[in-house]
Amino acid sequence: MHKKNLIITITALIIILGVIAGTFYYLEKAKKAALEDELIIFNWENYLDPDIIKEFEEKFGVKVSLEYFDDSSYMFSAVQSQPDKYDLIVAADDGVKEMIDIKLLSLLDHGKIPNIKNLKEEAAENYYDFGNNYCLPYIAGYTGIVVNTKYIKDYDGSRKIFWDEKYKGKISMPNNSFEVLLNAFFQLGYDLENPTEEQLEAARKLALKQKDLVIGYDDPFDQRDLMVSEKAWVTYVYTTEIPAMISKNSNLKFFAPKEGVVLWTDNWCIPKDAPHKNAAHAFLNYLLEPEVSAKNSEYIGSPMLNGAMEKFLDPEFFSKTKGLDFPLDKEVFLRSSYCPSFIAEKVQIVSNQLWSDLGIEE
Amino acid sequence: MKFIFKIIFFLIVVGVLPMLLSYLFSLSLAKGMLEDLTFLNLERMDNLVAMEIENLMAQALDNISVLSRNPILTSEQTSIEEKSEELEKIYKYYSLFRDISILNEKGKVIISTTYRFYGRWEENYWFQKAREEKQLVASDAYAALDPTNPILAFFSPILDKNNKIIYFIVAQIDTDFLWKITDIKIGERGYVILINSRGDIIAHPQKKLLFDKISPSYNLQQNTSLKKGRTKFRFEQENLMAYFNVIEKYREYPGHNWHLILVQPEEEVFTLIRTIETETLIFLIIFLFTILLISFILGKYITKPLIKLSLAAKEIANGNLEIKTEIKTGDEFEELSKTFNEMTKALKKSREASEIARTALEIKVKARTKELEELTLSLEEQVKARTKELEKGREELQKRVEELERFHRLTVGRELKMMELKREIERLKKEIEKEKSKLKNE
Repeated sequence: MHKKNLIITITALIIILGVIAGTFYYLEKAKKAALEDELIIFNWENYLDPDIIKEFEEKFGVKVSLEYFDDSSYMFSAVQSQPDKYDLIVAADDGVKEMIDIKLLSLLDHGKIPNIKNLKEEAAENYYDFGNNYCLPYIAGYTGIVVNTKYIKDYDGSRKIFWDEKYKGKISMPNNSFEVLLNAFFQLGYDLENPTEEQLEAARKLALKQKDLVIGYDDPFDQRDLMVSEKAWVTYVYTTEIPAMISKNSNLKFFAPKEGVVLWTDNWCIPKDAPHKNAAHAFLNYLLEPEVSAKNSEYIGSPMLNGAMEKFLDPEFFSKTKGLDFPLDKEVFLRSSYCPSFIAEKVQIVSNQLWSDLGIEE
Repeated sequence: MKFIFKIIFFLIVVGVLPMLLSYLFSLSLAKGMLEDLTFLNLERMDNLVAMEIENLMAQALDNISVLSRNPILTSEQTSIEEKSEELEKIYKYYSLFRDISILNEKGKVIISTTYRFYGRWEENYWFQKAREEKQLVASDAYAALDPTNPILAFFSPILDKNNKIIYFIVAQIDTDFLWKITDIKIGERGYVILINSRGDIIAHPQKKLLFDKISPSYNLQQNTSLKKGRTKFRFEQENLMAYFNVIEKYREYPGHNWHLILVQPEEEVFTLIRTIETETLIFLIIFLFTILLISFILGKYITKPLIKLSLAAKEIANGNLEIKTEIKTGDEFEELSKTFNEMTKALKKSREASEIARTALEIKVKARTKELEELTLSLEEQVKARTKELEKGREELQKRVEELERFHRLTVGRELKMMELKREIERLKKEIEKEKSKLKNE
């Protein structure tokens, strides 16, 4: 009898201790999972609906600070020298690959982003981060050409317009050395899959010839202003900038260069030492809510890669953005390619040199 | 508890336990001493390596400082070509540099020897620091193109007479030169880890671990504030003993609070102890078995005569006095056996005597019993006669009682009749009175 009582007492004690330990464990876990009260986002300007940020702040009690960059290399340099400054950054596919390679990114906790199921299937099957372990694909696009049809009639969609003496002083190029070099590279008809040093050198020389023809190498917002105000007649610009541009000037028309385009996908990433990782995860999950994604896509003018948002989109949205999203014209698409980072390093050295040779003052 | 177990228990307590205790004590003593020695060794080496790192970093900074005073590079009068030529010369002369670039005051690259690490310096934290502080700044180690090859960048602002920045010289170097110092073996398997203030590994014998985080069991925050000391942590599935040193300065230049950690796997430190431990354990087990065997044999030797005596005693208890013990041990047990046999003999004799005495007693008892029986018989007869007499007396008495009862009944009857008559007289008297009064009235 006494033995029985003893066993019951010991068992009860073990259970009680277990429950206490379990409670502490879960409290600790819950504490860890609790949202921080701040979130610092480093993004392109106008690349996120401010209303969404406001709603997120109200709903989750997190103060969101936004910082902007106007070229991905600035972002890269900032994160590289301070991986503990930002909580969320937007990086293009090759940038993501490079950042993963040099261990600058934090693994995403899919458990904290249940809405990741809303992502389009093809978004997970990418070359730079298969399975979205480090990044959340945001918006896909490419770099295309916008011309003012008032001044440039019968345009055939070719890149050679950027070297056309007729348009001297009316051409605006992006402030990205990579894009400028690759524009010349495509113009020369080379294959981006396996560029040789000679080809890159030829492209660098061709790009240098643009120096006297262009108004400048501008950031996307300056490009938009120049085109809307008709100070520039032709520009080489990211698809995400185009809706805002053509909605303000009906003479502007968008073309996907027929020589092929460089495809890119922008992604949300959390830097390795981000100070507010829980809030960052909560924000990504919020952004993938179908209604939120639809609203944000309408604000930006380009659809987010959210497969569940379509029913919340304005029916006119697709007609407005037609041609700015995949799929491209089949023939153009076949000539197009991503610029994976294993060749990007080669391209980078030449484009760096080109940038220096161009002596661009920002 | 059986006697044999008592013997075993006693031998274990006396023989094995003290040995076990002294073994444990000396083991912990040896362990403590070994630990202390290892820590001391790590500490001594750590201090030396830390000093070397400080010197090397200071030297690199000195070199950049000299570079930033180069008249061709820093003059606004010299052309870009001249500067480029000078840069190439320096680049080739100092094999230390991976790239040297000249930036304008905004951070734009004017010339670069390789164009490999172009970057956008405007957003680079260390560039911004150099611009704000207008002095030479060394970056923390970071991964540029290859994560297995950390880079350090040095930003040196060139000022004009009005203390305005005109150029920056940015020199980038591999951390290989640091690795050469840190690439030392401590014992067989001890090694050096260098981590930055965020816990990223910037030097480790396994290059694939570079820019991974040090394990959370290394208390980064606490150790940063402690500056130096002994610690133990677990990393790469190994328990490590370590000495850490936080490098706060490179001589007069500010440092990055790198932690220089010299580690030695516990397993290696305690290899000797482990061998001693195993050997002693085997010895102890053998000793224990020997003790068990000895005590078993000893027990058997001691308990055998005891068991014989015990069996004999049991036989006696059952009444068998013919039993005899045969113990020839030549010691106290043989003596005891003899005494036992004598005792049995004496017991037997005394039993025979008591048998005789018992028979005589029985005869006496029988005679006495007969006498008593006769006496009882005569007494019974007397009682019977007396009873008869009493019976007679009782009958006479009965008769007398009956007569008396009869007489009593008669007396009572008369009495009752008298009372009835009296009542009749009274009644008649009343009737006469009534008649009289009636007559009077008439």
